[in-house]
Amino acid sequence: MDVDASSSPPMRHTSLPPSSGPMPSLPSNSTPPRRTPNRSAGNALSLGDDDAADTNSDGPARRRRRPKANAINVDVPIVRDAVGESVRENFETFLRTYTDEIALAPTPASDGGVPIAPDGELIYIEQIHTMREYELTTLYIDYGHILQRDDVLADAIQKQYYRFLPYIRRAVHNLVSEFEPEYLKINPTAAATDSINLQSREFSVAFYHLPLVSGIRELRTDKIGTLMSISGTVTRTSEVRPELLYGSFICEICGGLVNEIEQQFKYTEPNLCPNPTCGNRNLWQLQIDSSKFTDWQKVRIQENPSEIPTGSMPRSLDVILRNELVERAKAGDKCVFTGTFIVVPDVSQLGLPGGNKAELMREASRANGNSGASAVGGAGVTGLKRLGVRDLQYKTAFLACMVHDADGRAGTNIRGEEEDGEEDGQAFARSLTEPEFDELKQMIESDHIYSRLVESIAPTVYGHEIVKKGLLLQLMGGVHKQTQEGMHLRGDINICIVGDPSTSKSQFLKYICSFLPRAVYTSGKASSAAGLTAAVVKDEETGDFTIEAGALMLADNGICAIDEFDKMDISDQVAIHEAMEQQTISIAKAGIHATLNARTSILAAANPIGGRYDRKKTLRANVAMTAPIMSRFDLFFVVLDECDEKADLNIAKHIVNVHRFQDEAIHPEFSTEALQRYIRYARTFNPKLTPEAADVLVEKYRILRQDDASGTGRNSYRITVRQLESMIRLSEAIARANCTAEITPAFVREAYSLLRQSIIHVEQDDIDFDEEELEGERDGDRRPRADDADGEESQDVEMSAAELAATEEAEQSYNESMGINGSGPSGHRSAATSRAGSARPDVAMPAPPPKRRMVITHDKFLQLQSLIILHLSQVERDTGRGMDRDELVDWYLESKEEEFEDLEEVEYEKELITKMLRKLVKDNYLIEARGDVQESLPSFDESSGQPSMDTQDGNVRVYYMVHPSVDTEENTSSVG
Amino acid sequence: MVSAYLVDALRDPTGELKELFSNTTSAPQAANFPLTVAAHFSRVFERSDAFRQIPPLDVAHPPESYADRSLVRFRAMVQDTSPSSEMYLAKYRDGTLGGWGIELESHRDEASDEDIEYDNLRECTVLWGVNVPGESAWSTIELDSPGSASSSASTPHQPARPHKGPISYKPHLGVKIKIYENNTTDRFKTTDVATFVGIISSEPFSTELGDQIEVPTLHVLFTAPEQNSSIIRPYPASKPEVHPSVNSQPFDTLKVREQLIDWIAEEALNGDREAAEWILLASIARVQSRHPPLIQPSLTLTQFPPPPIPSVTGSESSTASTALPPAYHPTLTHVLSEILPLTETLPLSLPYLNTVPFSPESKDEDLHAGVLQLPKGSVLLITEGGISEGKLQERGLMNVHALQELISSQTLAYKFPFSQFSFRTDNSCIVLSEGRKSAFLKTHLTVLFEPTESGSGATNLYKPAERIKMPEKGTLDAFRNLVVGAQRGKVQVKEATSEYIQQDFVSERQRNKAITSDGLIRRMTIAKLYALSMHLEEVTIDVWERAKAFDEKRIARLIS
Repeated sequence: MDVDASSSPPMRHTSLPPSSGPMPSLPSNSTPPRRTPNRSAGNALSLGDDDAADTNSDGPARRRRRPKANAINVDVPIVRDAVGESVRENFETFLRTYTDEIALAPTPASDGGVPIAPDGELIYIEQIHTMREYELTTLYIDYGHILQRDDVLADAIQKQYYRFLPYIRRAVHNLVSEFEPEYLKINPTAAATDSINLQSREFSVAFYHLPLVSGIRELRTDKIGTLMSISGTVTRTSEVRPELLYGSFICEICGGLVNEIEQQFKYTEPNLCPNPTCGNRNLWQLQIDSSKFTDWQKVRIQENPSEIPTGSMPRSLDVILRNELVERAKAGDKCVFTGTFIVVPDVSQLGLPGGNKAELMREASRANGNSGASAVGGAGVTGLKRLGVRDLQYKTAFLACMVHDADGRAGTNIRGEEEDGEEDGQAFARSLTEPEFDELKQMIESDHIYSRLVESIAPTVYGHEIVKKGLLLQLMGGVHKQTQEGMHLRGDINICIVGDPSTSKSQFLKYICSFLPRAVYTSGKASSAAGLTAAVVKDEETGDFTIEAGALMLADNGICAIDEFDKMDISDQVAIHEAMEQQTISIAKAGIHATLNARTSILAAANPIGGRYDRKKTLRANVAMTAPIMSRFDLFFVVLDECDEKADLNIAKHIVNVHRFQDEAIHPEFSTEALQRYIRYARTFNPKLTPEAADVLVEKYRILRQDDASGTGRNSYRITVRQLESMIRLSEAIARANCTAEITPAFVREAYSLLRQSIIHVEQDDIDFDEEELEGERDGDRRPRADDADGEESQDVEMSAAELAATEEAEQSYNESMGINGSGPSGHRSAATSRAGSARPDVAMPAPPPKRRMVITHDKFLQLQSLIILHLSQVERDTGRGMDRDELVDWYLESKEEEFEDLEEVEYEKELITKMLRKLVKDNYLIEARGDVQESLPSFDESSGQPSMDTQDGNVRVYYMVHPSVDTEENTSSVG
Repeated sequence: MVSAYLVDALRDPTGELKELFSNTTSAPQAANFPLTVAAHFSRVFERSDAFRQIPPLDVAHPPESYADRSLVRFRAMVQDTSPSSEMYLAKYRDGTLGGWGIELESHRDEASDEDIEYDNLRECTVLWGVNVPGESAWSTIELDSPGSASSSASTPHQPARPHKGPISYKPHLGVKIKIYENNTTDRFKTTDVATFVGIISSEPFSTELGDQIEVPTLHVLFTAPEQNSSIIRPYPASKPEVHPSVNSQPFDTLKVREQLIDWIAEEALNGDREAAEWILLASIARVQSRHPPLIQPSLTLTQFPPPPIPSVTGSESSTASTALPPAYHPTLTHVLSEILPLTETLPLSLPYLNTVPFSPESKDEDLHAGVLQLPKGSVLLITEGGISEGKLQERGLMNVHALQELISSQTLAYKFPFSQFSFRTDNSCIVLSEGRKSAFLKTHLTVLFEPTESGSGATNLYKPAERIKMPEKGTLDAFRNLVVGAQRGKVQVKEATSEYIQQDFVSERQRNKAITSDGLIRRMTIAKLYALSMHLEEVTIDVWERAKAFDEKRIARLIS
């Protein structure tokens, strides 16, 4: 009853003098219904035909236009929408009684005959109170709650949202009037006490958390009028404008006021003056103060990249925001909009940058006479006769009742506050389809998942498992931590691949970029620092300076793959420093001070200097990167192009198969999508170290440090605390790859071995003394100069055999322990030079047993060298003069006295030290002074290739001093 | 009976539509009337001679030359799929047909907007199509009809939206295409080429800014099958297949191949046969697969002389100030356009690079065309003869980057306001550079240009099309059969050959380490192309050896 009476006020509105607002005789809660499709409020004369719309109650409700201006027919009964009424009642019940804590099965949707006493807090009633407190007019309703409580209601709302919208709003209105009656009216002027002149507030309802979020592509005509959620990226926002909801007009001829003209997406004037004596149809004037306005904004959204089928362009859609939703979505945001899909005429009128244009057009059309309440411009149906024949122009738009950010964060507060949290593993698992979930489960539970994952990475590249391991760990990433002081400890793993050309480095980079959506590929040569980090650009139109994201920023929370890292300017490399360690990029330019997040992992590929990796030199010397940058990489992989028959055959087979069968040749165990899902799931784990693992970690670190310290071999780079952190990150990543939350010692060992392989032990050839001195003088000495091109491996093998043969014949056992070449730590040898690698194919000749070759390992050489130099420098410091050779030799032999077992050894050592000294002179570590000319400056030629001087002329004393160019400090540190 | 439909349809397609509508009585057909329309008209114009009777819409026959609402066929490249679909009334309240631009007189009065039955609103897809860029003259003649080359327009057509044409200095025709069939929303992607048959009229096109401009609009009745949109030739050519344009004489592939190479070498390359052969291989290459990526090799011809300074007088008709006048185009352009159906030349110069957009960019929801938005299978000839010293600005840098990406990974990134989307392309690239390597681009293969007839000099390399000595018609047809057939052909590598190749690789690695796995990949690609150019079905060991030797010669040339 109360609802029906509201249809009669339109009649009363026809009377003069003006009266806006509801009649006092009406019941308090029946303000004229808002935008009911079934009733036309506002147009006094149009009671009639749109009642017929009720018969389409099962079809989706469309926007109704104002019906034809028929004669007044007051006798037509107003048809009520019974379904709508029942929706309203159920909705009211829901709002009144819903609490969070009741976990019962949803009660049937019958009207609340027996009110259940709610135990917990009535959240929606609370919300109403809050609304009044903060002066809001939107009630936010979680759709999940309705689903839970009353699924019939939920279904009805969802399927015919647009039709039931006015009833829903009425329900809210009723509730507000029940709980907060004073809030119902807007009090424009404080002095007014007359309740008649108060405008009533408009309330709106915002649903959120619909179970299914659709894409723009799925919006079709059958979805018009239903409640749905869509997600997209906002590309453009219009300014906020007032939208006319209910217009109140004054007839220009007779001065009568006509109220509550409902506007239906276009400016609508009353058809006919209600004054019976005045037949005005066209001349109206809008009364601004008595009309009702609301905020309005149109945004344009674009599909999410993930929804676009390959090869298609993204679609766009207009979304209309009202009331409190305006300015919630900014350009560039990815948002979820809940609302309904509508068909709108003449959208070109909306959102015009120059609103005046529409105004002018309207004026023009009005001035032309007959088209009073008709469409604007030539785009609509009417007005066609002036411009000719046209197609109907209807556009589709989305009317949103709710908008919120959609960055995959499940815990976003609807009011706009954000909760920062990693995606929950369970939440992710729930979002998978059934077969996907099974596959994931199977992957997790299988054993050796780690190695199987490694094989599935980059299936088009053959071999290089170690690099694939590194890539897998980089995709997993370590755990990002924050200390109590607020310091961020990065969890990203940075990897650098150095390698010979044509070893598929670029393929790895391309794979990562195609695998991970948030990966950016850049080339070091083509980018500048600004292009990689962020640039300050001047906007031509506005003259403002804005920040343009560079590759590192774009890859935030992803991987940035930088090719040809070494070709980058050193100055550019420095710019990346900050991004790598602090994970932020600071800009202070052109008035903009900003710190931007750049939490990316970096995957860099570099070529060695000189084209091919030279194993004689350290890693540092092979790559054109500064030490600080190098230390910021967690892992360094050196990929070499080695000549191995079996490997070559495999590679050839792989390549030929790819060319023959293309797709079928590559069959990794897990598809890319399965891998992606697994990685997403694995990233939800936050593994922690177990105490045992911690012990192992400390132990391994200690070993690494020791190696670095004691090894006189020069390692790739220093072991510092950074490497310890790297190991922790790697262990965390390995634990994640196994989907466990604990880091076991096995993982730590694996991380250690990975790190170890990064630190390539620099291959130094063993020092062969005799070689230098007796070049070309030995009989039967064939020394084919092995150059790089030859497969030196076979030669190495020969040499070792020859060596062993030689030593077996003549040597004592301890000579073997001195390090015969062939027993180097790694199997493969570097390019041989003539000094050490010469083959001796015919050592086993029956000629006089070859003199035992004076060969020691490089380490030992360095050790001896440091020993001698230290001693000499100490003597120099003490006595101010050098040391005599004999003295030196004696000193050495004495120091080694305990080790000698027989005379031969002594002889050997003596010879060794002598040759050693000679070599040191040759290498400019020592200066040789003859005779008594110790005081004079050394100006003679030390580096003369002194040939056979096995025996010392007994009459000439030879003094040794440390060469001035030798830095004893350095030597001490390398020894100590 | 069909011929009656034919005549009626050609004369008055709208009437034909209405009649069809009133004759459609069965409910499912009526429910999806556009499908019925498509089926009916496809049947009417099924035969090729009937199809040819539909007048073509192209630059020479622009929309102005046709009466309003005539039936035309438009072979178009889809340039833009971003306009949102429009709604139209499929049926008016009094039962008359709507859509296809049909308006009824009675629906024009004021209160007509009240008559709308919202149930009858339907969606139609809106695309923007342009005439196919890079289409060579002979393929246009073959696909349209012999008399179509002559222009029937008195004044040249001024495109309503000039920014939508890929090649800015060539005349282009842009048409709004409205497709009424429901299942085509995703069927057409950008750079697809299709022939649309429908009713031409003129409608306003509302841009995002709210401007309304009149554009020619094609209301599509049906889409013609593919053989009407592109040139097809059989592979291998010796197989007897029925095709009207194929020479009925027996096809001696090798002989034709040699003749073709000779002709290219003589006319465009001053006698360098090897370079001609490489250019042949590069033009027939297509993308083999995307995963794993097997894309076609791109080619740089180095030490190619720059154009002799032409006598640039005021009468040179260069339509755009940034484009080089045609005198800068090498003869190779014309030669290639005689044997390839789709080819385009990019004459690089600094003003060109700095001003002309290469990649398509979406501004205000409108996709502005880029030079590189070309149909799949086009061959791109890039000349660097016009490069002089100067500054490469931001747009130039972006263009070079886009071009390099096209060459290296066969993708083209379309720029959108907040993102970039990469689309796949399939365009072979040949670069002509003056120095030892290209100024901007890195290609897979490099060939040193060594002319044998050095006497002719640079002028012979840049002569206009008229001065080319064309072979006789039969030979020219044979050339086209060879090339076009090879473009779409497929070769296999059998087991025996693959074993041989692997062993060969291993032994060569042992001999000298110069060959790498990349080298093997390159050789495989070249061998396949070689086999394709000979119209073979598989790569035999012999072909492998020949291809290997060919590649070795190229490398030797570079080193010497």
